Amino acid sequence: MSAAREERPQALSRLDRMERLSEAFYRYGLYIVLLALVVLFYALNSNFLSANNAVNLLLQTSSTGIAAAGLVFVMLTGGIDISISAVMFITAVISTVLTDMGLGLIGAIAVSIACGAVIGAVNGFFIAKLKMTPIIVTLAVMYSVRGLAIGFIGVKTLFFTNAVGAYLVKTRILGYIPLIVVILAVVMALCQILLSRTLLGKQMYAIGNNRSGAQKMGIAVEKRIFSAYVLCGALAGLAGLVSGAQVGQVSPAFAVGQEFIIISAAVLGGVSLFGGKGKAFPGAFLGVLIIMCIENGLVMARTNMYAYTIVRGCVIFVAVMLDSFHNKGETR
Amino acid sequence: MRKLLSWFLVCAVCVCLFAGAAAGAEKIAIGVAMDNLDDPFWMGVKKGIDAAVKELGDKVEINIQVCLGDANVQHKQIEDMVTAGADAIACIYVDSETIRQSVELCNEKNIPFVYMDRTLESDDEITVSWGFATDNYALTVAGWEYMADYARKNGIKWKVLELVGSLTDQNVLFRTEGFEKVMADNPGIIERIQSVPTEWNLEKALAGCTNALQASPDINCIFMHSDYLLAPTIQALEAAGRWVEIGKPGHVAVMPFSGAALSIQAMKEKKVEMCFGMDTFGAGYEGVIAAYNFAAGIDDPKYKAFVNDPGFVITQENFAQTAPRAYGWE
Repeated sequence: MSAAREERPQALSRLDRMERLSEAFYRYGLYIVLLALVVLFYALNSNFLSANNAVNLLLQTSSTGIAAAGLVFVMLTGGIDISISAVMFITAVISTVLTDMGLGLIGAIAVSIACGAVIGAVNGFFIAKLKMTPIIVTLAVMYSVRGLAIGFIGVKTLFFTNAVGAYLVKTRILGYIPLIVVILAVVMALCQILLSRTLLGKQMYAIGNNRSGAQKMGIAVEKRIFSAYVLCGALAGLAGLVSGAQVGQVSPAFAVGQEFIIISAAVLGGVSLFGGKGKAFPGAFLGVLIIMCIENGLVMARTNMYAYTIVRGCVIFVAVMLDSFHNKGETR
Repeated sequence: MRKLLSWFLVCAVCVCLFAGAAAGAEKIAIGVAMDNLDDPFWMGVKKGIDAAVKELGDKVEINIQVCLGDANVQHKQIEDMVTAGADAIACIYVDSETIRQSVELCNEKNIPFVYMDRTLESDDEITVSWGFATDNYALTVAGWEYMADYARKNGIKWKVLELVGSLTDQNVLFRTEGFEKVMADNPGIIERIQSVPTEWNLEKALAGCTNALQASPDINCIFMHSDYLLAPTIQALEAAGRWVEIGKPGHVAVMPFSGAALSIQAMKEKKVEMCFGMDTFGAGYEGVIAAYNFAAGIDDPKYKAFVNDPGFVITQENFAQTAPRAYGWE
């Protein structure tokens, strides 16, 4: 009898330890994974840890990172936006055409953000006001926006190699830090401040955690969800401008499939598909960085070309699996 | 009154249908299914199609569909064109397996099927009427043999980054095979450092090229499976300070494939040694003329044997003679 009594607390403490371990892994796992990747790829190619490659990695992280930061707002409210890639495409098209006509960098940034925000508002209207399913609405918007952009350019390729594109890509702050990386840093900082220091951000977490509870507390749920999609669209617009300038070419296949990389990066970074959990920085940023690190490292390690797709698929699977495990038993 | 109006509408529809059928009876309806139009290469094929349609004039009715790289959409488009009464199908297919369903459908309906750009062989299950495609293997071998000779003359050893297109594209596989053949024949001159898959994605091409140049700064040659990937490659080389003229320190020999305007411009600026040239105009033009002839029952000996065009290699030495043949020549 007494032995059975002793066994129960022991079993409980074992369970407790497991839970703590999994919590610790969830909290610090990203850093551990990133560190492991850095060590692995450094062992395979010492150039991986060079300063040039660090800048290179940040540059490759920038457009996806900016879009992922925007997506965090939507995901926190329990939604999803798969029209991001189409928004990136249309803003890259508009920016290229307008800058070719003489629009400056500030104007191009403003137009891209505004254009993305308008598309985000369309998503937000249908999802927040008309209570339509996010995946259906954003899927429809994705096709419509891509079709609109293809119709606009007439299924041709545009070259974003004018002065604005060159300035965006080549400018180095203090002679070393690329302007695009500075833009990424500013976006990440602003998004995280918005999420953790403002009422808007806190209300988004509340909505994602318990929508009906948030409504009872007097939070304007519809307005907050609408704002989340507008912010997401605006940042996707900015990401489109950055990506277009980096690639130097905008074709109808521009950013196709990018939405899945962005979503998986956000999930990998701890932003829950179920809503209410996650951060733009370091969460989503680290998620994007890990994905880019893997792609960069595979090239550095001169991996077989057939390995890339397999590894990418595995990363997405692991990210979603971890999210499901972490949210096991939670229903919202 | 409503009854009278209904009868009037039914009669009007019948008259229109008969009139349309009578008017269309003289014309041959050709359905053209294209992979894409997002690249000057496809626009080159389209120019050939347009020229053929112009030449055939009133004798032909053309319906061009672009599936934007989606094989299933392409199959549906062909189904729709067949249902709409196409007399022949000319096609640049996306996927060599998916297209077999479309060819089977054409065979069932006795509609001639002609391919353009990508080869497809008849077998026990499908019959292809005719086709015009570039012999990607032969063209790649010819281009790489030029580069091997160039290296021997100038005492260079090529350390190559290969930017691979889609791994399911048959043309891509032929290009890799051609490259590997010449590499095997010239072991001390050509060495492949890295193959990076791009899936015809510009962002991946930029990242892959940048990363490979970081990983292996000794790369001095980039072989890309299409000059669609040239713009991001230039961006990556510019960032690395290596987009410089031939002979200057740090120069990387870029080998674009097909002959777009950007490649021709880079050759004019003496930044690119050579370019693989493809007769895109011929593929579009001959494809439509052949489809018309088969549908109209014209027995032209020209369209008995399938065309496997060897293409042409544009070099700095023969630039004046060969570059005007490229579709990117302006």
